[in-house]
Amino acid sequence: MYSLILAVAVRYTYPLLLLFAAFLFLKGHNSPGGGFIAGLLTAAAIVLSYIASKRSPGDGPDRFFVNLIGFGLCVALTTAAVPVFLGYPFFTHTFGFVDVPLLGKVELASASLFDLGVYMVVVGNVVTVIRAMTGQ
Amino acid sequence: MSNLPILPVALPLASAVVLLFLRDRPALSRTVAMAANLVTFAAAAKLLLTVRDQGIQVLQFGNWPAPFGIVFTVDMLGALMVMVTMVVSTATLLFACFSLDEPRERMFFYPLFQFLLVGVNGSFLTGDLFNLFVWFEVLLISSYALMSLGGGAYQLQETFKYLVVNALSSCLFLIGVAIIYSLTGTLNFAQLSVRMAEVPDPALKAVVAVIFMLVFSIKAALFPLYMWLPRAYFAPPTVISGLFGGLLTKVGVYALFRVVSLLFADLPFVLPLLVFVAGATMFFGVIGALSQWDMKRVLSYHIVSQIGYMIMGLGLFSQVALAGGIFYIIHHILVKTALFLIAGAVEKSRGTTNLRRLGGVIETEALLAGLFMVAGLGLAGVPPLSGFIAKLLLIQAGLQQGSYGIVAVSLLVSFLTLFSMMKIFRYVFWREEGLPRIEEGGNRARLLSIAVLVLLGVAMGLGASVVMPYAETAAEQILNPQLYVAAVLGEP
Repeated sequence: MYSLILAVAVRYTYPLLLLFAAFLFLKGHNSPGGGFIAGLLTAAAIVLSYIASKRSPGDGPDRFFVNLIGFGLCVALTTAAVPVFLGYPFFTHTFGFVDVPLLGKVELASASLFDLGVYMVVVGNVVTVIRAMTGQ
Repeated sequence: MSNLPILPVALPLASAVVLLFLRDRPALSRTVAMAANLVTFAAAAKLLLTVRDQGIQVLQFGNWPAPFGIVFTVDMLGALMVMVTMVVSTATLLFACFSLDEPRERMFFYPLFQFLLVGVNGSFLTGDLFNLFVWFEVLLISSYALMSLGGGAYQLQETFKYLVVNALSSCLFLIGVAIIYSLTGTLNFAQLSVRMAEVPDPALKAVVAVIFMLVFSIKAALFPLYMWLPRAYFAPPTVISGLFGGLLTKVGVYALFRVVSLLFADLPFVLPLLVFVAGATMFFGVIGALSQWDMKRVLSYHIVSQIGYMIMGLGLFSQVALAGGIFYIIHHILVKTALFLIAGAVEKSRGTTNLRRLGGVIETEALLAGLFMVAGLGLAGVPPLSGFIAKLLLIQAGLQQGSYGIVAVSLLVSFLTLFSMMKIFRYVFWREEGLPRIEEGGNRARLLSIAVLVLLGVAMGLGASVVMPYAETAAEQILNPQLYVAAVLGEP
């Protein structure tokens, strides 16, 4: 079912949704938000773009989103495992402050890398599941 | 602080990720999965030896000290369970490599297998109640997928029931966790153990105890909550039911051991109730087995029946009884998995596991028949096999405490188990007429995986003096929760 109104609307809301997902992701370190919610939002945006377009969600490359789960797990597991090689317990995280032009002093935490892994797993998972359910 | 306790979880997880990318290359997947399993096996062995030499191991994740952070606490029971998990999973994996059809292999069998190990090992190692819930979910989600893999209508139907039952029990689990958190303000097992003893309201404590016993009774398939098990384990390919039959219910049994010993052992009704449930589970399980005419179904009912013996060890709650119960768990995981794999080999060779249609397997596969005989006698508890030692200890403990009822039931059930094993032997292997063989040539790798498990079972019986000290140490640690508490929270 193709709707012109939805298609035009999605053309403008899609980048906004992704931007909001990025905002949620970064905000998540010390307040509500984070990789999981940002992942859900991104997946919702992708699914919305499927609905708005003429393509069926089942079409298109199948491998990408499954591989995304794998890459996400890789990122998360690596961030958790690196401290082991530095002599700390598994999952130990650190953070530091960096001066970034325009933004000033910014806190960078290694935990957000783990969150990035979570984000990828969630996006890959949700999109794969929805595609599988609608594909046939 | 050593990172050793995380390895039995982290290594399967890493291999699962790699296997996810190798999903289109079954041959390579088999090699990688097997190699990963052997490495994890080595890590588990190292962990067991470390626990034996240095006592309880604690790993605090992210360098957050207990009770604020999440910990892995490995006592002897946990280390033993991880070890035996790796033994049977390696044997099962070998069997799977040579028996599974390719569509299933391509449909993420190997990654799911590794994720299942992540969940099982995590449950055995964690020292945190909520974390236990999470690991249970990891293993359950993998098991849902494995159970429904490539399924027809019957398999999907049984998986759905399995899913509903387990989702319900997980829900209860979470409710229990919430109540316990509101009572004590902590979820760390060690701190819970200290604070549960100080809870002023015995009624609320009893409610929590009942909820947790209910939850783990469903997972461990205890009377009267075992109805889901025989049908669920009949549906998937035998290698998957073998792995589940050997391992999954035992995670529930382990959780009961852990929770009862640390939190609820001082409540007056808990232990007698467990003894009663153990007797009923044994008896009704074996009655169910006697009424069945399919090898896999008979074996599934025997899982239920055997779990009664383990819970008998917990219910009697003495040094001898607990050591016997732990010995029983290890023996059961090895032997039961072997029996399921034998059923799988028969199914591959004859195309069915129906006792009425099989027969004469001994003529073409004498070795398989021999292995079944040994494993079956071991399960029933004929000396000098491993089941005998385990039952001897349990019965000894029962007599010492004057619990003659449960001793009588357990002896009766042993006879019925023997009868039921002989029934399988007579119909599947001994009888003259029967279905012809459909597969040319026996498969050596499949036989090897069965033989390893059976021989380990035999070795456990003959070399009981080697295994016993481990079980005794585990029992001692269970009886003295203050050792566990001191390891996690430091000396008081």
